[in-house]
Amino acid sequence: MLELLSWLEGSALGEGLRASGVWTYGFLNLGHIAGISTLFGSVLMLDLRLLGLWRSVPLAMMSRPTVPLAVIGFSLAAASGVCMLSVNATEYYGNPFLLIKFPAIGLGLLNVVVVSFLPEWKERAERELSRLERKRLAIAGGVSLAAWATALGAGRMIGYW
Amino acid sequence: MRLIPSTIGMATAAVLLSASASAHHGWGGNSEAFEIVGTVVANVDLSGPHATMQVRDADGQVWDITLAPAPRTARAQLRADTLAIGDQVTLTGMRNDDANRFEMKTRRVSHQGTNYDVYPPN
Repeated sequence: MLELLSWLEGSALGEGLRASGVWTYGFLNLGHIAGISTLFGSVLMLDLRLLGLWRSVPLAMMSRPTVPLAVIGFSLAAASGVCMLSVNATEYYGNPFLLIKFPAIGLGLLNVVVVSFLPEWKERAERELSRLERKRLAIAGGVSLAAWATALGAGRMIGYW
Repeated sequence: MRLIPSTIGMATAAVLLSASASAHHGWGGNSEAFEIVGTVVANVDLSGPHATMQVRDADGQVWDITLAPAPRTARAQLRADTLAIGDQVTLTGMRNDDANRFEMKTRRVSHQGTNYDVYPPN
């Protein structure tokens, strides 16, 4: 863990960012927040729909804007996050919130992979889903919401440790 | 759906778990007013979430000095080339409440008759 953080801090990315002016970290932070809000806002809407809210809105209609926005938000948050971490990575060694946040992100991404293989997700636009299928998607939505909310909460708290 | 309350509960627990935490976002873990007289061993670094430097006191203890965020520290005229390694400085602020952590959140750096107030002095 410490080796990985040291490597990241010593990388050309870390070196370059540390030398690039007093506003760099602030702008990276801005990018991170923009990414997180886009990701979490999208995830929240889709997951609440999967959990049974707004049943009058077809699932395929809800997933149309939220899934691509979540991908964009995650990409922005991940890229800015790696950059921020590279500036002073070793300072976060032993930070317990980091150890909550990254497994939570891992769980969220694993959930995405699992859902993408579910027939009820792949065929959501083509046919009516059975009660059991809706229940499985609701569980996936609950796991997703718990994972991303945990990542959000633990991530915010990293700086307070 | 019963899943909604349990999901919200798990998320809330994650946030509440951290209610007692403290670090660079607050002064909660740094409550004792403190002064350090020493020499610069690591110069002002304006790259991270907060500017930092390191100072060695008369007892030989090296202190991690937490300053304001970089733009604010630079605006107080304290920059990477303002001090030189080995220069004597006097710092006032609040030291870390953990007696084993030699870290101080610093309001003022005094150097050769000039006060650099990165935060308003108490």
